[in-house]
Amino acid sequence: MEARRAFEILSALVQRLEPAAAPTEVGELGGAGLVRTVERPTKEQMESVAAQLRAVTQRVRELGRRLAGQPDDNGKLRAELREETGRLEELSRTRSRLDALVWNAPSQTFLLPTLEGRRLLADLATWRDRFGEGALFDFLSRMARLRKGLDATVVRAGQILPAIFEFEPNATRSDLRAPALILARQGTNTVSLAVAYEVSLRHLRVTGVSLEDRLLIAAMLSGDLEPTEELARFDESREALRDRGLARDAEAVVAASLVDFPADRRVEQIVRFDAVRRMDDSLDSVEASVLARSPYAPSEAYERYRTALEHTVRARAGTGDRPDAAAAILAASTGSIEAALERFDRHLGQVAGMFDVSSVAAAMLTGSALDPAQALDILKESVGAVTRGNYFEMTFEIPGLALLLVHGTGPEITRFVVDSGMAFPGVAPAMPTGPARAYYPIRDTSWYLWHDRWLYRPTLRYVRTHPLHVHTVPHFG
Amino acid sequence: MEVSAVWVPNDSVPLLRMEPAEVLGNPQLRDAWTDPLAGAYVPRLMGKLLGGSLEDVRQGIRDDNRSALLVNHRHAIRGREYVAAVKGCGAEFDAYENARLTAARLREICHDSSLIHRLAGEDGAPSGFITGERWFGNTPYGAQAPDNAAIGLLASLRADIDDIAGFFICPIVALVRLPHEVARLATKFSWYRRYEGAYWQEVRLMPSNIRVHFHSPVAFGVDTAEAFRLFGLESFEDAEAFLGNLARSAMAALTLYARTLRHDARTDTYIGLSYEDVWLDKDAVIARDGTLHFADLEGIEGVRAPGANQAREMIRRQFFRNVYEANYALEAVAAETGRRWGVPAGAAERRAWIVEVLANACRADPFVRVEREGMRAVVVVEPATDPDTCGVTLDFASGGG
Repeated sequence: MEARRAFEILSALVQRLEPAAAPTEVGELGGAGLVRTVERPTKEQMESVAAQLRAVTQRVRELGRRLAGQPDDNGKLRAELREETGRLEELSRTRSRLDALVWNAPSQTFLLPTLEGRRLLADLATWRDRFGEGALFDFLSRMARLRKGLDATVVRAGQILPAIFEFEPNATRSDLRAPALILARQGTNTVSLAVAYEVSLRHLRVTGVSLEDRLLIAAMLSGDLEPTEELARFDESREALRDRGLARDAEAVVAASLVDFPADRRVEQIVRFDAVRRMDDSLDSVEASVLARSPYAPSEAYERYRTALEHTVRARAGTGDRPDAAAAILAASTGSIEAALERFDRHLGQVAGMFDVSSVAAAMLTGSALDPAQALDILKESVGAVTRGNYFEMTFEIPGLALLLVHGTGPEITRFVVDSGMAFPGVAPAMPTGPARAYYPIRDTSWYLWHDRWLYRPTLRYVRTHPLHVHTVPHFG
Repeated sequence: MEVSAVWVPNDSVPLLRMEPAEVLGNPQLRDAWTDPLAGAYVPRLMGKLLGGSLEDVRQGIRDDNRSALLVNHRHAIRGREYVAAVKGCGAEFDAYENARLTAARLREICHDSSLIHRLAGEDGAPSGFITGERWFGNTPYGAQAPDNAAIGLLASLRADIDDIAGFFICPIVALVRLPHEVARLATKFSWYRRYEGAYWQEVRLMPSNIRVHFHSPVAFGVDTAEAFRLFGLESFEDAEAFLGNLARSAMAALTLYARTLRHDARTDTYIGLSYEDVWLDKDAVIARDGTLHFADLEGIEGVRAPGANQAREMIRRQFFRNVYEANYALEAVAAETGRRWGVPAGAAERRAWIVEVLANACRADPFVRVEREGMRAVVVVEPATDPDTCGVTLDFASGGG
C-alpha cells in the first residue's frame, strides 16, 4: 500500500468518517497493527455487553454513596464495590472501543485505529510530502529506524558518560552529559570514543585550555579513532589565530571550530574572520567565526547580520536571550535573509518557553535543511529519546541535550535513515563502508560550539549556582 | 504490595528521637504507631544543646522546609504503601533569607548568651532547627501549632483511614507535643515576634513526597519527566492508567465540599469540607499510581452554607478555585506522554484524551459524572446530601464557539 493511501484511510478513521478501504488494504493495515477490525457479530456482542454499563455504573455509584455514609461498617460493601468497579472498568473500555468504531462498507467490517495507527498518522502528516510516493512499509521502516537511531545514540551516550567521568576530577556528570552525547554522535565504539576523549583532554590540559572549553573541544575533536590529526589541526589553527592576535576571548573554541576545514581553507577562514572583526569590533569572537564561515563574502555576511540583528532584538525572549548570537547564526544560513527571518519567527514561537535562550535555539533550527514542521518534529523525537533514555538529571536539561541531536545526525542514524538514497535533507550523508579511514568523520563543529557557548553553558551555570533546585522560596510551606 | 511508596532522594536530616510530652493518636492507625516509630523528633543540634544522650538519632530525608521522611517506617493501607513523615521537626531555611539555617545564623537570632557560645563550635552541616518565631498566624517556625495540628487530626479521624468519600489524604498517625525542654530551648531563638504556645509536630503517612507544583525537590508539574522516571512509567498504557488515577482523585479533591455535604437539621444549614489557605499545588502529593493525596490537612475545615443556593455556590467556588492546578497536572501527564510515545500530539489531541480518560475514570464516582458533547465536557456534581437541590453542573471544557 502506498503511504499516501494509508494517510487517507487513517485520517478518515480518526475523524469517524467511512474510509472506503478495500479488503486488501484493511488486511495490510491490520497486519501492521495500525487498525483493528471488528466483525458485525462481534460488534453486536460488544453492544450487548456495553448495555450493562448503565446498570453497573448505577450500582457502583450507589455502593460508593453507601460506603461514604457508613465508613465504619464497610468490609462486605467494600469487597462488592471493588468487584463491581472492576466490571465497570472493563465495560467502560468496551464502550470506548465501540464509540471509536467506524463502518467500512467494502470490507463489511468496522474499523478502529490503534495507538500505532494514530502515531503513524501524525508521522505521515509531518513527513509525507518529503517522502513523496512510496510504499507504506518503507515509510514505517524509515521512521522506526530514525527513532531507533536516536535511541541508540542516547544509549551510547549513557555508556560513554561513566567512562569519561573519571578523566576530569573537577567536572560533574552534568558538565559531561553534552560532551558524551557529542561523542555518541561521532562514533559507535564507546571504548574508542572514551579513549580518544581522554587523549584529547590530556592534550588540551597541557596546552592550557580552560576546563569548560576543553570538555567541549575534546568531544568536538574525538571520534572512533585516535584524534592525532584533529589535535594537530587544532594546534595549527590556534597558533595561526594567536599569531594574528585574533579571537583572544575565545581562541581555543574558535580554533576547534576550524578543524573540519582542510589546511588552505583554514587560512582563508582566519582571513575572513579578521575581516569581519575589523567591520565591527563589538562582535564577540564566536559570532565573528560564525559569519566568517558563512557562504557569503564578509561584507555581505555582515550586512545580513545587521538586518537580522534588528529583527532579533525586536523579537528577543527575555533578558537572558542572545539576539546578537541568533542574528549571527541567521546571517550565516543559506537563502535570503528575509526568508530566514520569517522562518525564525515560526521557530521562535514553537520553542519559546522550551529554552531560556530561545532566539539561539530558533536560529539553529532555522538553519536546518528540513522544513520547519519537520525540524520541530525531529526536535520532539530527540526530546523523546533523551527522556525515554533517562539521559538527564534535571528536566530543564532535556531540550538542550535534544537540540544536539537535531542537526544532521550521528553515524548510526545516518545509516538507518539514508539507505537507498532516500533524501532526508539535513541528515549528513551516509558513510561508505570500507576501511575506517576511507571517510571523513561527521563533525558538526560549529553547531556544537553555538550550542555550548550560547545555550548549554548558561544552563550548566544555572545548575551549578542553584544546587538546591528549589522552585519557590522554601519557607512558605 | 500493589502500589509501593516513592520518594525523591534528598539531604539526610539527623533527628534525635525523644520522649514526647504528650501524644494524641489516630485510633485507625494504631498499628502504624509502632515502638520503633513512636516518639518526638528533634533536630540533632537541639538535642546536643540540651546536653542529653544522642544515642537514638534517626536519619530522616528532607522533604518540605520543616518536614522529613522516615523511610524505614512504612505502613500499608489497602495495598498502597506509605512512609512515615514528621512535619514540624525543624526548619531547614532561615525564616527571612533564602539560605540554610546554619549555626552561624542561629547565633544571630539567639537571645541566650550561654547558647551563643556553645553554638560557636557547630558550624558543620545544617540540620534544621525549631525556633520560637511566630510565623503564619500563631505557629512556631520549624514546628507545628496545636490548633493547626488538631484540625489535621480531625480531618484524619473523619476519613476511612486515608479516604474521605473518594478524596485521598495523607493521614495523621499521631500528634506529638515536643518535650518541655525542647520548647524552652526553641523560645530562645527568634527574629521578630515571639511565639507563645505549645510546640507540637505531626507524624503522618505519605505515599510519596512529589508535590503537584511547588515545594519538593521534584515537583510534578515542573519536573514531569523526572517524576515519570521515579514512578516507573514505561509505556503509553502505564501513562494512561496513571492519568486515570490522577483524574479520578483530582476530581474528588475538586468536589470535596459536595462529597462531604451534610445537612444540619438543628441549624437548618449545610456543612461540607473546604480548603482554607491550602492549595493543591503545594499541599498535595502524587502517589506512584497517580492518586493525588492531600497532605496538609490543617487547612481542611468544615464550612457552613446557610441554604441550598449557598451550598451550590460553595461547590462551584471550590471547583473553579482549584481546577486550574489539577488541570495543569493532567496536561503535564498528557504532554510528557506525547513527548515519550508520540501520542497524544498537539493541544487538541491532549484535551480529547484527558476528557476521555476523565470521563471513564469518574464512572465509578458516586458524586460526579462527566458528560461529553463534542468538544464540551461538563462535570455533573451530585452531592452526598440533597443532590436534587444542591447539585450543580460545571464546565470542565467549554468546547469551541
